[in-house]
Amino acid sequence: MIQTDDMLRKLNTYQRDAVLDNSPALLLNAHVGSGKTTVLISKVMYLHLVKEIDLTEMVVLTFTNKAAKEIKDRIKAENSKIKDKDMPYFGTFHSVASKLLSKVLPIQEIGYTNRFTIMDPDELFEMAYRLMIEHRFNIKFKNKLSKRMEAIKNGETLYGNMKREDDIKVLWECMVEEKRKQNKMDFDDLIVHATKLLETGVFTPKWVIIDEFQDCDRAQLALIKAMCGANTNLFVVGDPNQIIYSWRGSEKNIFQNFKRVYDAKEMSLPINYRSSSTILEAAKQFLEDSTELEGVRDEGSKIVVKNHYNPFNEAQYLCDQIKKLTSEGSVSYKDIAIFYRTQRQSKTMEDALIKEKIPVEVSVKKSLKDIPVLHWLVSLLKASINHNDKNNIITALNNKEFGEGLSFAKIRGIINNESDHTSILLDKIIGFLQANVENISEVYDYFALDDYLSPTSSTFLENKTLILDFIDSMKRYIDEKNVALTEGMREYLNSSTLYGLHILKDSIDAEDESVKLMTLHACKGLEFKHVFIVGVNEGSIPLRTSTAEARVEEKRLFFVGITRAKDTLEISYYTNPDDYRVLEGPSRFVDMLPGHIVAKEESKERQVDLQSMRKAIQKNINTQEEVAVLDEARPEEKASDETRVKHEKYGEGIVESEDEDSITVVFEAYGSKTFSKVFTSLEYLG
Amino acid sequence: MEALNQFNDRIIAQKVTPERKAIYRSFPNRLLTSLQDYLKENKIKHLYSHQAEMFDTALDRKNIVITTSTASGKTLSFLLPVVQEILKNPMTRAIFVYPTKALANDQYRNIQPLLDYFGKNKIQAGVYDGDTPVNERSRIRNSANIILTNPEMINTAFSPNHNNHGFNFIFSNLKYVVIDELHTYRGTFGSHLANLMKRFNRICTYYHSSPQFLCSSATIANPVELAEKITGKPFILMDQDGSPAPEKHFYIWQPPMIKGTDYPVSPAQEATELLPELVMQDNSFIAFCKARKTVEVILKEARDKLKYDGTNVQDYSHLISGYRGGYKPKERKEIETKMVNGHLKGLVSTNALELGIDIGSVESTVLVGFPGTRASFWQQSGRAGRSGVGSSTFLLLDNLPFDQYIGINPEWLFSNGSENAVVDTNNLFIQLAHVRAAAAEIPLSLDDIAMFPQLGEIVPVLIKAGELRSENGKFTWIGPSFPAGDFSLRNMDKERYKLVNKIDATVLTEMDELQAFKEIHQGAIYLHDGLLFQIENLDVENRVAYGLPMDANYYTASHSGTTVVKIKDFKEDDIGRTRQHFGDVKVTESVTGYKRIQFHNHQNLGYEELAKPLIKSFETEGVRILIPKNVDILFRKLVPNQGTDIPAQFWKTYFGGMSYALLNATLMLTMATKEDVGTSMLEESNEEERTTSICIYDRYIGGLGYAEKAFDHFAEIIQNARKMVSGCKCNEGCPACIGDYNLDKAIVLWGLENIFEQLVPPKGMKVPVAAPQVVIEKKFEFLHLQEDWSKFTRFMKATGEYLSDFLASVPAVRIEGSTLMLIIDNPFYKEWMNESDNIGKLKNMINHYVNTPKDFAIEFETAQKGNVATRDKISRRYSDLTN
Repeated sequence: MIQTDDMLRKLNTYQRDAVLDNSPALLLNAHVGSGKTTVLISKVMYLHLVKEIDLTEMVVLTFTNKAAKEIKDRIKAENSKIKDKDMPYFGTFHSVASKLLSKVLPIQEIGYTNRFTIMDPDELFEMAYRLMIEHRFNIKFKNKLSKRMEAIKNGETLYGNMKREDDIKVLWECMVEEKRKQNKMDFDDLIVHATKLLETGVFTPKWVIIDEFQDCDRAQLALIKAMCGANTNLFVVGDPNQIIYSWRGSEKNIFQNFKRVYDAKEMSLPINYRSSSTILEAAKQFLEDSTELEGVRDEGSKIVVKNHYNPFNEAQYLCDQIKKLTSEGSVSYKDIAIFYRTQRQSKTMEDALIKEKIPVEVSVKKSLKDIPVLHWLVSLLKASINHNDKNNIITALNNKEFGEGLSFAKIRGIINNESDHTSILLDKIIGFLQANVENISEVYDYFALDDYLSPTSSTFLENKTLILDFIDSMKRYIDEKNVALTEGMREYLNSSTLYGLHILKDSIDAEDESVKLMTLHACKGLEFKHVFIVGVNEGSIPLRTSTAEARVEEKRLFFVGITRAKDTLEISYYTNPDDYRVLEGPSRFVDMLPGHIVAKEESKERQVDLQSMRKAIQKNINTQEEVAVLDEARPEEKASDETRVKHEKYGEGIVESEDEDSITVVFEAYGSKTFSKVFTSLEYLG
Repeated sequence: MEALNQFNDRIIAQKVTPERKAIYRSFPNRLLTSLQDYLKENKIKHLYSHQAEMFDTALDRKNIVITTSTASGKTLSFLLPVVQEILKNPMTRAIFVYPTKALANDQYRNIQPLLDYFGKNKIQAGVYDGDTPVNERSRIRNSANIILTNPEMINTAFSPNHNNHGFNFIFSNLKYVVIDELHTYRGTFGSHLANLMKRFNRICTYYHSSPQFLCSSATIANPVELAEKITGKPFILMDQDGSPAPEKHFYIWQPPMIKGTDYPVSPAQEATELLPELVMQDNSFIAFCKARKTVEVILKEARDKLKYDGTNVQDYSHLISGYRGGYKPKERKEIETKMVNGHLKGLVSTNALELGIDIGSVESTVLVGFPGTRASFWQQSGRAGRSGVGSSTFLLLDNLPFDQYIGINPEWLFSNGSENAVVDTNNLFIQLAHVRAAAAEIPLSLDDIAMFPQLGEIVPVLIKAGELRSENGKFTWIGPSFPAGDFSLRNMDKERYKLVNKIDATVLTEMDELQAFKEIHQGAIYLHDGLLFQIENLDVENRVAYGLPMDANYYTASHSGTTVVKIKDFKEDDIGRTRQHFGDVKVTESVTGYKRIQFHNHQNLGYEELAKPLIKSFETEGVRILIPKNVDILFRKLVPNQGTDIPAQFWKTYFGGMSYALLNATLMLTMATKEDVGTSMLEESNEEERTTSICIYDRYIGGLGYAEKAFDHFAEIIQNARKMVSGCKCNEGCPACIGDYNLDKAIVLWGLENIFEQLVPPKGMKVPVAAPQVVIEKKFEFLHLQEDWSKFTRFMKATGEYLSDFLASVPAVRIEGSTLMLIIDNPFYKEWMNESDNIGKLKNMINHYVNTPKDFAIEFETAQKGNVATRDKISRRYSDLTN
């Protein structure tokens, strides 16, 4: 019990109250930086150690494998006797659903066996495409097929402005049947099928604990509801200010609904321990209601707002800046993070930091489909060990970048021997099982993969390395499991679909001594002493959005980013953002920061004439004197008749006419000239 | 030449250069077997010595500039080391820079067989320019080993985006940079390229690559110096040509005078005689013209002759074609292909073909006028004799000082080396433009001082202007978003005019403003591949002109002039006995009207004023030197056509001669070209005194600093001008030193010396010698026309002239005093003939070929016999139809 007492003592009143609370349903409103994870773990420990509830009676649902792992690791650290297998239902929604389906639930009732495999969204899409061709379905809006399938799942059959229905419904039914026939489930099926089978009441845990509750979607809420029996307690933790996944389908008004449905008690964790009060004040600008959130730290330094020419130049600056910060000794690399809006922005920073030998870790949430070459390889290998897997045969051959770029019709022709075309790759796929490839390492040479990776391309080495690493990892798996090659490949290829590849990390290691780079979405749940948020341009932060709702979410996302910072925060925007969708200059988010907490340098907005610049330099060289200041004060008042002005180049002249944007001046020698008011500096001579 | 005996009297000089035997080398040991196999497959068993040498030198990591002749297989010389590197390492990248898009496309086609042979898994290439589609761009950035492009793309795409879109991979793996036609980068364009390459090298350094440079150049005096200035690297020269060259014949061709006139036949007109003859003798050729219009006029007239030649039943006119800028890329490609596979016998071209575009081998080159420099002369004549057969070059002299000087002294052409290509890498304006762009690419650091000599002066100004920020010991760009787009590498007009065919709304061509004013003003005839379009109107506001296809017997030539006026002086100074001024000037080029000129006989059909003159003027900087009074007086006395406006005949006067000498000295001092700096004279009147000045100005809006540099060093320029004129190898003056051989260089020298010291004029004026010339008699005598009528009409038909078919249909004529009576069988033709200016045109034509009396006139006589019946018959048939 000592551990528990010690643990509870470290908590503040709000936190302790939440841990000790015994309501059948509790909604914990955890503000940013208020110690949410600590409370969650304390709660599990408290239930396990004090209330003596078996860990197998608890379901702990998270949104990332990393969060689940962190909770499990902390519990294992508290009690070394506890092993992972003692916590079978700690994990993401999908992994818990999958485990329930294969181990606990009567899966045969829905026509599956517990050796089902999992399809990623692309595989599902490819299946749809194949069925469409095989059955000659008439489907409109094919480019929006995934959206339409989403709609049909939700019971909407019409799409867009259609005069008559097409075959989408039949297609969908056909797919459901096909999946069952092949014993395959897509991600959504895992949740939906588990929910359906849970409703029979086979499995009702004593406690259901949910992290990041604000991110739950409708299906996930249904799953929770289905596993709640009469004696199930609910403990949900979330922050409505951090709803940043509504584009992925998280439920609106989720907190109010939860309170109503479960008659839940509501508690709060209002105190932010993390950020300086300056940073907190900046963050509050992006909240609808910030009254409850309070900080305890001192003012700290001002928020720096900086203009950079482009991402590359900023990367150079950041390298210098990071070197400066770390050279002082008190700051280490892991205290520093750089956030951006989209993943593609990371490359420039990463390259520059690596070049300067600054250790860096980029958080890349990648699934197989984000790595085209592995996606293709997996299709190729899956097809090779199962010749009936038409989806993957098609994917492997059809791929334009790595495959042979063959059309569906052509592939069908070849498969059915109705065509004169041949495919070397298909021959290899068909011949794989007979080829007696004994060692998995021979796979690369068997398929002569070099020929498919375009050896002259800039991505060749990278792709080759990815493939070799994948094969290597598969080899290790097979060696460890000590299974037959084909069997081992099958298992490995299926597991990679669900858990992401071993070689890819889905989250970063905060303790690693390196600078962290990540998107604003990925930074949720983390904290750093020094944070740089880059590219706060209109069109990037915030992203261009069409709905008012999305605009509010962009604000929350920025809020999440700001609140990661403990000590200093620097915000930047670009003159030349390298992206045509992003506008030049600071976004309105920059303007929303109150002036008194911001340190920013005023940039001059002015067009400079190269000729007059050359003349200034020439003059400088000739006379070795101070260069005349190019910038001259521009009086605000309107020029009246006979106003005399002086121009840098043309000398003195009389204002002939002027309007809002331009001014016309008559010069003695040059005649009449018209200038844009904004871009010209005329000196008014009384 | 034997076959062209009828032209023997035109040839005033000839020169034969002996055959050069090929020097072969076996394949270098280091050459990959796969490359050797490729060469063998293409029936190349050994290399020319320079190709083998270049390969070995390149493998030893040296930068090379090669100046061997046009047909010596330079492309292969580059390709071998580059491809070898690619075959060894498929990630290798090489950038090939060409001065024009057309050339890059042409070279891409040349390497296509090699790409096909090795396959896309071994080697890829592509043309990356403004016309490249998005998908293709992305393929090239991702996978192409050889990227063919131009300086503009390096300035606006490669360098500013070095860290994006895969350009970083290119920079990181860059092994070779090939700069083809290096000699085109002179003057301002050269300064820009040199500064651009500084930026480029800076970026390479950032990505830890240090590419090797391989350059090719036409024969110029200083290829190594130019290559080193442009790229900033040390170079090795490769000029020992191992390729064979046939015996080459050079013919200096003097167009004859027409008896009774004081002007010679134009070289263009001579070309229309020579070219059809070459076609008929199956002698392939390229004719080089100095202007786009000349190309079209020659093309049309030569085609007419090939069409109507009475001795040949067949139409041969499709065997020749034009080739010039302004043709669409697709048209050019078609022409190139036809020329390569022999479907065309000859091309009439501008200097667009001077660069190495591959159009197969030709036997002859015809230079319609001296191209201006010996380098160009050799480059153009080098186009002949590719196939190894003997070759001929015909230089058709124009009635211009330079051409006529060559007529007097042909050795000048053959015994002197080529000109220097000058480039000033430190021009302040250009440096400033590129420093700004460089700062935006990678922050400026102390290392850059070595690269940009004036960085210390430029940086403070940029900081004050709010374009640079000092940060962590570097200067970071915080100025506008695209500084590399704030300037143009070539002094090109940004305003492009379109010519639209009114019938089908297609765009016929595009051109810059000045050209548009001269060629597509209202009323102009625009020729495009031999077709005529009359311009209905030129919409200056929208920069578009509309033309209607038409069939006319004339073309137009616009009348334009250049004037310079002073705007404001910034500095002035005493120089010798006179003063010089520096300041802003306004240079105006105006097109005021145009002449109609009849095809074939080139008679002037009248002058037309434009309703509103087209004026293009720009402000720039100029330096002006006042001509001392005594010099002014003598120069004016020596003006050839007294009473005519002096600026209108500027180059024929001593003002022009002196300007010419001063301009040459200025170009040398400022390292500029004639495209960068111009000269003119100004006449000013103040306090009843008329003064004359010579102005030297920058041909660049706002100025580039050349004139200012001239002001600062004017005494030196005058001394140099004196040295250049007195040191010139000519005896009494030539176009090279004073612009016109009709002038006496002693007078020009006297003028230059008088700036410092008043001297008495030299005694005894030079009497200009005329180049040897033949006079052609007109072929027919007026008094014999009655007997010779059918002979005359046959001859006329052969010329292909307008109305010659009509003349052939006139059965007989009668001479009555000085009147030529045309006997025709239908009075209606008489009325028709009197319509518009038909009779005038007919007179022009007859005048051109016949010795006519002064009051020559044409009348018509109707032979009634038999015609009434015919008419009645027709009349009856017609009423049958109408009733």
